[in-house]
Amino acid sequence: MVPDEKKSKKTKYEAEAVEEEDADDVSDLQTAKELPASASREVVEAAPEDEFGAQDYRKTLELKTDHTSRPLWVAPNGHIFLESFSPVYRHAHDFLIAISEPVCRPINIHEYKLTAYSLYAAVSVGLQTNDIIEYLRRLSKTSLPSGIVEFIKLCTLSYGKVKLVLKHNRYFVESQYPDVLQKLLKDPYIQQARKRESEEAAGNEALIAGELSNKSALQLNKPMGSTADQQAGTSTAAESADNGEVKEDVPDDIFELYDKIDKDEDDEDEAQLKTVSFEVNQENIEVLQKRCIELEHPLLAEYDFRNDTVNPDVNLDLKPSTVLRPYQEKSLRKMFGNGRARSGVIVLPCGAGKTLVGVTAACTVRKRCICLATSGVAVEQWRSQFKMWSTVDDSLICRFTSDAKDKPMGCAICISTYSMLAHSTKRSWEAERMMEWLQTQEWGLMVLDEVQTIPAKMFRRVLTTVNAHCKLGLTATLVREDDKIADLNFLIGPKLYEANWMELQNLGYIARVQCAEVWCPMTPEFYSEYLVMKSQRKLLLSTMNPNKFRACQFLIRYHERRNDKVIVFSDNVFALKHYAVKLSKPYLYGPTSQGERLQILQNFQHNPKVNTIFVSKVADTSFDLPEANVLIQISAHGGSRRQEAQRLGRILRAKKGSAAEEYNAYFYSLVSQDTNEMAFSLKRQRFLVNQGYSYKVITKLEGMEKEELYYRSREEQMTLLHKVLAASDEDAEEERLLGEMPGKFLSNRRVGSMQSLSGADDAIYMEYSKNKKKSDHVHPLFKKFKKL
Amino acid sequence: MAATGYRKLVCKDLHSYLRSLPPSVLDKLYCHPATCLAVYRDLPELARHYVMRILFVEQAVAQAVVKQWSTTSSEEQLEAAAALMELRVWYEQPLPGGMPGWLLNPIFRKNLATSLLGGGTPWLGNKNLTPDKYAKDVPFLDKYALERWEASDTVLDKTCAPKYKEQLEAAAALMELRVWYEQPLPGGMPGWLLNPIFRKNLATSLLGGGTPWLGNKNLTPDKYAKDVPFLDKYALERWECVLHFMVGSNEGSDGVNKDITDILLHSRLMRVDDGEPSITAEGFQFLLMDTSSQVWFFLLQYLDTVQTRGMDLVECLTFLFQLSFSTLGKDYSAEDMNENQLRFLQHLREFGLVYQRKRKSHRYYPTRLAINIVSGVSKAVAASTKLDTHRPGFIVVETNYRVYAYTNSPLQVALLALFCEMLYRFPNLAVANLTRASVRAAMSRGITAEQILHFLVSHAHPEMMKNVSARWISFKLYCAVSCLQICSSIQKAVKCKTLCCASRLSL
Repeated sequence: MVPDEKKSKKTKYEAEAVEEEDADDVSDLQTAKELPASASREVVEAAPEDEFGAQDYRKTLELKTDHTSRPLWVAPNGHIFLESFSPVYRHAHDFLIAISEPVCRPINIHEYKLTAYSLYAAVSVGLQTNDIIEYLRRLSKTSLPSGIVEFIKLCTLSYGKVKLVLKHNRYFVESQYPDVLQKLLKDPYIQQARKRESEEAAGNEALIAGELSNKSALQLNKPMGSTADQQAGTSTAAESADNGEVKEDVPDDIFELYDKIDKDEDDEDEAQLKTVSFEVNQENIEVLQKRCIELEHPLLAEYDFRNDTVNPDVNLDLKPSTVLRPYQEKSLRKMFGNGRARSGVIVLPCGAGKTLVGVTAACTVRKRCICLATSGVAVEQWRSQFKMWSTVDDSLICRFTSDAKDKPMGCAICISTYSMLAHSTKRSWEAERMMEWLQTQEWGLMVLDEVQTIPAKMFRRVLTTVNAHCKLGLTATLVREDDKIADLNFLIGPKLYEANWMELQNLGYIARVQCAEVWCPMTPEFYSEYLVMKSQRKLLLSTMNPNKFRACQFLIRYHERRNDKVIVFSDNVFALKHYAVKLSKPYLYGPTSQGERLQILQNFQHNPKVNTIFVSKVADTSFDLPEANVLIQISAHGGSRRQEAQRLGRILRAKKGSAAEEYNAYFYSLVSQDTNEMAFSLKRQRFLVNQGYSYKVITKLEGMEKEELYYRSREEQMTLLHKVLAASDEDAEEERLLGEMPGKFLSNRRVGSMQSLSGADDAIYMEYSKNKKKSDHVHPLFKKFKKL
Repeated sequence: MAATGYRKLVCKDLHSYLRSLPPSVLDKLYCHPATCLAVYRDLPELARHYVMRILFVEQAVAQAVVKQWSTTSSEEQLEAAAALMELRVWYEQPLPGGMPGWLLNPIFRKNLATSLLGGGTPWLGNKNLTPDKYAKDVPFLDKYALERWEASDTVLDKTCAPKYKEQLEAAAALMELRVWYEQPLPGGMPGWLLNPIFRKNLATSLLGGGTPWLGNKNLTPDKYAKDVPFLDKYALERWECVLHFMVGSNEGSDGVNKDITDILLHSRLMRVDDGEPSITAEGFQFLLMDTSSQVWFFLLQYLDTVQTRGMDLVECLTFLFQLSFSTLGKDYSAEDMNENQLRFLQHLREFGLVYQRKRKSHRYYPTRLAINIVSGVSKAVAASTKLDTHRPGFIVVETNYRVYAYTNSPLQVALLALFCEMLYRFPNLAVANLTRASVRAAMSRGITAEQILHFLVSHAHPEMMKNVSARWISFKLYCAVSCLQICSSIQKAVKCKTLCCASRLSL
């Protein structure tokens, strides 16, 4: 193998990975400018390659003598490998989650990556530069690469030192490091933004000294001593058993430091930290934030809601019966760690109870709260969840969607959709009033559901419309190579917590899912048409493959007999309708009205006669269907990993009373053999595979010949083929989501053929930017000409 | 390379190797007890029984009689020793030293003033065999034995249910190896006659007596005595030199001389490209085998070339068999060896089968490689005594096609690199990815999916073994399926074209 060749392969792979995700938003340049330069920093590495083209670190890293009892390898390029069977796995795992991004977490060896963002997040939850380096050094099997130490220092020293705090409704820039504040104050813009008591005091540079409590603001129910203690008990018992067993062969230094870091995180003692701060003018906040980013001291937004006397407290508490799961509690601890509310993103698998985390956060802050969801159905679900978990009165909740507009007066919790707030064209009078009201309010907490789905542009519009002190993003799939995630980091805040799917599955918090890829051979007739067709038609043909239909029908029958609840997903509306009508099952897609949707979903949940529904991609996110345990996917959106994970999430909610079986939920992806779908499906699975799921390939469904299924004869198949060929071009396309998502980025959501999507569009884009670049260097005379 | 595909590497076992030798060589081979014992050990069970029965019978035995000896219910009484016990020719009794020994029936001994032996010792590893106190009276013994056996035949016949096919197989195996041959009885009936040399030597090896096989009498204690771990390490190092040389790794290839190169070329594991030997498809397959199979295969190839070097095949084989019955960690003398044998010893030293401190040294230590040489290929013992088991598995395969190898051996990394895309090398870990492209590259070199799977499974890390239950099995299945997936994608290119043509034609 020539190394060059390999390299190009690798880069190609990465490039694919980047372009793979949605073309939803061409990340707007404006945001990019607002990121600090160091955020895009990468670990620089220059390692020799060995004869097989691998990065060779054998010379640069030195193996420690007691390496067997340490769990990590740290590569000079920021990748970290963790043995999950190591005795100190738990400790190392907690630590790594805090400081790095998980890349993949299968059974035995996990991979993490240190990035500027992850370190930023680590600092913002209170870890110190030296502690990070020291602990990493102790956990590592080898000596720590010097480049990594540099990188950590570079990324963490400037981050998280300065906080923007809202106290008594006045903004303060606060820091534990007086020298950093002094440095900032030397900047003229910041000087300007500083608010002074009076003009005379202008010369007085003294900073306000203060104290910071270290006590967690999170107060949770500890009811039913039995259940809560049991949970805590088992975990601590397991922990101590763990420790007792292994302590002998684990170097002491690991435990020493872990205890220290553990304490930092759990905040049991009420240490008072000295801080200094200066006040700033509210109107200059924007300038200040921008300037601080340029100075590489991005401001962390914290909300001291306890001391906020201007905004009234809302009478909102968790019901006494509401008990949080340990991981939910842990994630919230990160948010309310130092007695204030940090802004940030919490990543939990679908079905692991993200909504409860949001509700608990709202109950902790106890200020006015706005929740944003992706669709009308999701809004309803949020409302019912609020009522289920908390003591909120119905009159306090106000919905703001196209279908339901509650009276805003006197309400404390507003639930709406992103598209409602970001709507830029003319609104109805009622909506206009509502928006005005929203804009005038000062919100304590903003909860952003499924935060990864929102394109940056729309997002910014929402954020500028609504004033919120603290923002909490909730998501299951923070897809990483995407620039969009970078935006999130600075628009909302760092990632506060990310759960391990496999761990939650083993603990029984989410369903144990058997993933399977079912290969359906193309019939010769369909395949010969497939070969001569354009790319869009190809997809329709492979979706309408009679063998796929038969497999789908067989699986539905099989699972209905077992009393399972089945959801069938199809992105292609033509196929969706055809399948559903032929099998006489209810279906649901974009144009289906809100009322009908709710009716179908309720029937599916409660009516024992409706065991199967067909849905389009409207149901990808936020459709809470706790009963469903089988998912069949017949067509999908290209190679989108996010969609695959979101869909899996529909059946992840923990199932009851089926502990006997190894799996209690099934995810089938039907794939037509020898078509594009094979390649797409491989791509789609990457995210879940990295989370530790493994796909079983089924080439033949047992017992399918015995069933009476449609499209057995060639004649039937041929009529189907004619029908497919007669379908219009529009039918061949994937569904466009009308009504929910406005305007521009809709047109990008098209099936397909990656070639046309990426290839063609990219070419145009490239050319365009080139021209633009050229025009920059055109002689001024010609520029004038152009203007004329 | 021929476009038609690659020769699948077939590693013969001892039985089939011996079968391929000409009868004259076989006859000569039986001149040494060690060979006889090795051959005897490798025989099918029923055949062993036959041999045992007529070990002392000098004249031919009627085939009809032999037929009646056998039974399908094998456990019952047909293990050779058990049969002997039942016949009360001998029975087990601990020796004064605590070692188990065979003691002849006292009545038998009493009746015979001069009896066979007064305390046979286990034949492996017994250094000081006491001289036989009793003169052997073979004819008398034979007569007695025959009498006893024939008397017991009637008993046996009642309990035995003969099965024809098995008998035939056993008889055929014996024929092929020239352990016995057909000879008409005086009455015209067909009969079997045990190869007289074989009989004599096997009897010696089983019952003791004769000269010690390997010179060890006059050895003074070695000043530089080596223990077993050292020998194991040495053997592996030497052997890996050969393997390193094959993959072209520059590490440790200094110890590879022309003899080894010749054998590798002869066996087509390597071929000469631009004056430099380079590895072939067969070579890759060879590398993926386990160590004892590799050694055995390599030796077979070596033995093929022995005659062209002017050495005697029989002599070499005999020595090899003797080695395989020697004791690990014990030194043997090379003083009595002739020129050819010494040359052979030097070759074995190069492969790591024996350890000799200096070329001229008069003592040598056989290593585990040599001792396992015969057992390594017979399936029954393979699992328990393989050298590989002394090195724990080192490969962790994840469900996302990631491969982690806990090793710093360039050889193992080179092997992994055959079918993986290498990503990182840490001082004690190599990280690689199993991709379609990398597997395809391996297949284009003639490596099959089974070989890759076998390699991954046989070197699996102990952590992977822990989840032996469902998870491990599902992993194996998963591996198989994903490999299949990869294979099928390769075939698909071809299939697609044909399918397309076919469907075009049909419409």
